[in-house]
Amino acid sequence: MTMRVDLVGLTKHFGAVHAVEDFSLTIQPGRVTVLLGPSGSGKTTLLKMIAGVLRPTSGDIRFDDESVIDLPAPERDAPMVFHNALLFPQLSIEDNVGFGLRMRKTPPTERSRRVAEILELVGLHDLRTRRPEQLSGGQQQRVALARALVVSPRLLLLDEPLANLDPDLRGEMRELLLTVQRSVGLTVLLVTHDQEDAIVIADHVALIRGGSLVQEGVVSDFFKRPASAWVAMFFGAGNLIPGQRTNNEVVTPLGRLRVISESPAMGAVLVTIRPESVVLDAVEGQANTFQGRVVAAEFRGSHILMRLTAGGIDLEATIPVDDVKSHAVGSTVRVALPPEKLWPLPAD
Amino acid sequence: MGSRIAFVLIVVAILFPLVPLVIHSFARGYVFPQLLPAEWSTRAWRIVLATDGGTWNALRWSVVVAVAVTALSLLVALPAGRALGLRAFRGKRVLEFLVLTPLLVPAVAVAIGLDITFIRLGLSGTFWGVVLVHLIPATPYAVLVLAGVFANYDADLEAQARTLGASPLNVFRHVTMPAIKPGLIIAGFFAFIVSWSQYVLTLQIGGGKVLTLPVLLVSTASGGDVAITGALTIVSALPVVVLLGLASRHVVRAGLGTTGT
Repeated sequence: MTMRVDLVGLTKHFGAVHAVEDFSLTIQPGRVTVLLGPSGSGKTTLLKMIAGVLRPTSGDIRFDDESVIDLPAPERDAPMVFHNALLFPQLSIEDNVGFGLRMRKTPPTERSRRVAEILELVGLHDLRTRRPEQLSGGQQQRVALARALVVSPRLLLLDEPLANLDPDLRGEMRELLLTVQRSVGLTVLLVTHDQEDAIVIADHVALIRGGSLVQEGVVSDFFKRPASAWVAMFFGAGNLIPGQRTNNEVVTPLGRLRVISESPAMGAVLVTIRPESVVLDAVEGQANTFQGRVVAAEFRGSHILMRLTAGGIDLEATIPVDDVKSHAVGSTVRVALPPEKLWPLPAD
Repeated sequence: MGSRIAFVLIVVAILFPLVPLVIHSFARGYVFPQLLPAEWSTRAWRIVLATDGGTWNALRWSVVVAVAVTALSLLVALPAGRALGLRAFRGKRVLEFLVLTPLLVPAVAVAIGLDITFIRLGLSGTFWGVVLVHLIPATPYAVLVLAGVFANYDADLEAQARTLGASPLNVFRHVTMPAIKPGLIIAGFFAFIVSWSQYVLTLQIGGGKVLTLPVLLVSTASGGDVAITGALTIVSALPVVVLLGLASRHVVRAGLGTTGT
């Protein structure tokens, strides 16, 4: 049931537009891989090529080491769930869910048993005789998921299945997805532009930009050791400080900063630090301290975002909402950047 | 409720002009000051519907030609409408205009030129010649209707069906066909009517050998017998009115379909 998928140098050009460029990635069996990237980065194009509804310009797709490049979509056993559900309007909910089984010529009795089972699972059994247009967006999305799951696929491809849902429904859908995935050990590739989706459900994340793979790994890697300034900003690193690095020291407009980092970037660098790692009210003897001025303080629900300026550099820092020492706009603060939280990146 | 009133108004507007013709067809000596004929007669109808008369032959010609034109124009319009509706490509506007050009040029202007070509090709005076020449005004309508249908069509539905295991035939049967069926019926209806009401082109290319109802009707009308002309007009118009009644349900349904999901 579980299957590994290898994308090898996958490329898709639409005329002069290079939608996907030399994209290689291994999708581990029985795990949730999230393909993350801003809209227009080629995510859906990649998914369609894996599903077999779009032919790559070049490159290979292997299911368990077997090339499927010439295998038509109906035989790939890799159903795709689109972001807009795409239910067949003339079919009832149960006929929609049963569509894949009908195409596989599953006997009617087994078909209705499996459809009933999966509809129970997604909590829509009571609506089985309804038409798609009678369902809410969230319900339609669950039907679309059920329709893909019912065929016990080798690989499940999800294109922004949570994008059109309300926040509470989104949480519910994520949970449902994970429950099902864990129970059958399904290989899942989910495409999203929302890093929160990646944080919550991904076993493995691949970040795509302009059709190319930028970085892959577990979610925490993207926070702790981003591969580029763009990755750092995509994951909300917030701060980029230009400087010259020699070994464990970076010369910046903020002064000489000591860094304790495995990052190999030397010479011209951008040093990143997450807003939550910036220390305000530094104490005596702390490394990397300097004077900063508070420009703005923004209430963000779970925390307060402080905008600072120091040495001509804009910095962001977060402090707890109940922090009694919250600083007035215009006041000066002693800022510290802990050396082990700094991550230098190549400057280009 | 509103749509029901509109439906009734449309039906009245279509049927009302036929009323004087019905009266004429049953009249014997029906002259100006009279509101209704002084005497009634079924003479015209007996002549028009006579089994050895030309009506049945003309009806048969009209039906066979119109059905062939409908089928062939849909065959052309389906891929053409799909390409125009779904795809964006260089020169699309020019192509759309070219599709429309047969509707901009009066048939009379091209009929003689076409006939000369058709004579060379051996198509003049033949069934297929008439079908071919009817396709010129009929196909643009079918293409336009289907291009509109496909402009509102999400081709990802087909991709969806394929990833769920549907073969190309099943994709067409279960996804494409149900989605475009109302539009297909309307497109076919247009093509049928255009062929059904064609006079100049039929006369020119058919050369008196392909005698459809309009050809018979015009020659009858020039004969001056109003009663017979009236009866024959009703015979010509009735099938189209019935078809319109059947197709109008789909017009309404297609109109609703575009607003739904």
